[in-house]
Amino acid sequence: MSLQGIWTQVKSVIVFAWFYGWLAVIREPFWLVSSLLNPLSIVVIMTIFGGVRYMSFGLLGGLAMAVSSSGGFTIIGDAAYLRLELKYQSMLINTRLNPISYTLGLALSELTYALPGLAVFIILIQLIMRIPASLYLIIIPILALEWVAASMLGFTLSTLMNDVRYGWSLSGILGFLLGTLPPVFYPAYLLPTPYIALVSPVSIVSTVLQYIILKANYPQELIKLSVIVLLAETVIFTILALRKSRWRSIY
Amino acid sequence: MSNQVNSVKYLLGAKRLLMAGGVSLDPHGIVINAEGLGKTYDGVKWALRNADLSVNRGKVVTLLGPNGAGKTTLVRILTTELEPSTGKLIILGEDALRNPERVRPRIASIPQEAKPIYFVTPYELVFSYLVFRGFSISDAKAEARRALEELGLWGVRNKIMNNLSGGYKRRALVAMALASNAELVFMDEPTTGLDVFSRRSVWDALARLKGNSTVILTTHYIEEAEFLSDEVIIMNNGLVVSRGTVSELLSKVNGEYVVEVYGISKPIFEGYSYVKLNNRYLVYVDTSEDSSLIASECAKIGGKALMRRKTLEDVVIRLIGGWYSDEPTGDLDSS
Ligand SMILES: Nc1ncnc2c1ncn2[C@@H]1O[C@H](COP(=O)(O)OP(=O)(O)OP(=O)(O)O)[C@@H](O)[C@H]1O
Ligand SMILES: [Mg+2]
Repeated sequence: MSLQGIWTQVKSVIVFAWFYGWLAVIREPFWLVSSLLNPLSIVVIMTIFGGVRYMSFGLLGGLAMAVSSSGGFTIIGDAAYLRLELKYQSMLINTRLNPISYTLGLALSELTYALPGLAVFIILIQLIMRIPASLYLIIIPILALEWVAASMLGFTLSTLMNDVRYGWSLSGILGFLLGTLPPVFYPAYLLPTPYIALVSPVSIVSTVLQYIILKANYPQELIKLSVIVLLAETVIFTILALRKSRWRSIY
Repeated sequence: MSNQVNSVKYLLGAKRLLMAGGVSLDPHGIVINAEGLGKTYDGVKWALRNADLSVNRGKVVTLLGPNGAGKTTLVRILTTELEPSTGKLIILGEDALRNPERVRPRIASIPQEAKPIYFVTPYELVFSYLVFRGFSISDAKAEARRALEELGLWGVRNKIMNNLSGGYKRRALVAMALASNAELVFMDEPTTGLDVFSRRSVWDALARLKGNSTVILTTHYIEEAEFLSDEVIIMNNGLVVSRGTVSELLSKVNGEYVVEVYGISKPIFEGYSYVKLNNRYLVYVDTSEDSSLIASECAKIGGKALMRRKTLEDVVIRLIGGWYSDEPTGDLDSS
């Protein structure tokens, strides 16, 4: 793809986020709150029962969870809605957008209205854990990989839905299966083997964050493997979105 | 911007095909060339059967036919949105089934059931669509403005869609396609639900588009099809039943005028062509005198009659509706 072509895609992704994210934020601000509530409620319960020590795990898990829901899990419902209800995807097929830029546009829209929620997490984490600024050079790329991986997976799954209602419920189910059940809000070393954390991109990120921020006691092997798996998932889910998602319909 | 580039690419694409011995085509003239297109959604019933199609550059082609005829199915396949079950499809010189991504940016389409995102304004909707099509920000602004003005939407450009009536929403979607200046524009029932004035603004916009763009329309408004189309394709039951210019199709039905008669128990139109459709008869006559005569004869036996000019509707009815006879036969002729 030419430089000009790449610029067209980048510009489109940004305009998409302005259009579907920013305009929604300023016109329907109540959406802002809802994206924050799920992870925050878990943190609250953990702190009540576990005390401040568990609050740190909760907050890191909450951050990992909020990043993946600010892309992937919410995309499933939204993308299914745009495709099935509005036929918007059918219109956008006949533009320069492709499944990747469309997904990134959607994901950036979701991120736009998740930003205030993410900011709350980051401020709380900063207040409690006092992370040195240099660590963010690792944290941000890891979160970015998680966000892209979850979004590509979310979009691909959404194109398999043929009813919007399944889209909304699948977001909830995936949020639970990938973002709550595995060791996201609790340390993986409580499990028979911490390698279970590798099952979901969200628990991978949570585990890595615990390792670098809380100095949680994980084998270095696990952390290396986590980063490799996360990278691989990002690449694989992106290829899936490009090749296996139903950008065009079969029904 | 890229028209020249596009036409060069187009020529190259067409040439490649010719050399590869694919569907032969005139590189300057033919924008759509389909052979044996078919679609079954459930593996049992064919929504579209064995459709052959060739469409010339700069034409307005209208698909006409009853609900469920397969018009939307055909349009969705041609826009590369829906995968056909059978057939070959060359669009703008490219194999649209193998390399759909090469034709997609050169097509604009408004699906039948499209709805705008509800929290944005018509201006934002059209502007963003044009950016996605590769327009620069300033061109997108200028073209969005022009299309909105053309369709009488400039006054509501800053209202969010939720607060606009259904016709305005539909027009905003039509404005997207019209602003695109795409080489090939598909509109599935663009004017459904529009008032008499805004329908005409869509017609004017289509007239402007014509020449540069090829337009494929579907509509249930007969006068619109007659007024706009260079060619009409009549479909029924997944099949292309007939195609031609409006006058070619009109010549398939005898007479110039039509008397629609209802409220009579048996036909009294010996010597005329007529069709029975449910409880009414459509009688085709050559002169307005004849139609007045029939109308008054029917009135005498308690029937009601409506006289009108022959339209494409009669062609549709002739080809796929009712039964048709020059001489009344069977039990209808029991007098
Ligand atoms: N997504 C789908 N899944 C299953 N069957 C479908 C689907 N879309 C259309 N059909 C069937 O295919 C046939 C053709 O439908 P199509 O929508 O192409 O008709 P149409 O000519 O556009 O009708 P209308 O004038 O009502 O818009 C119909 O029998 C319809 O029930
Ligand atoms: Mg239709």
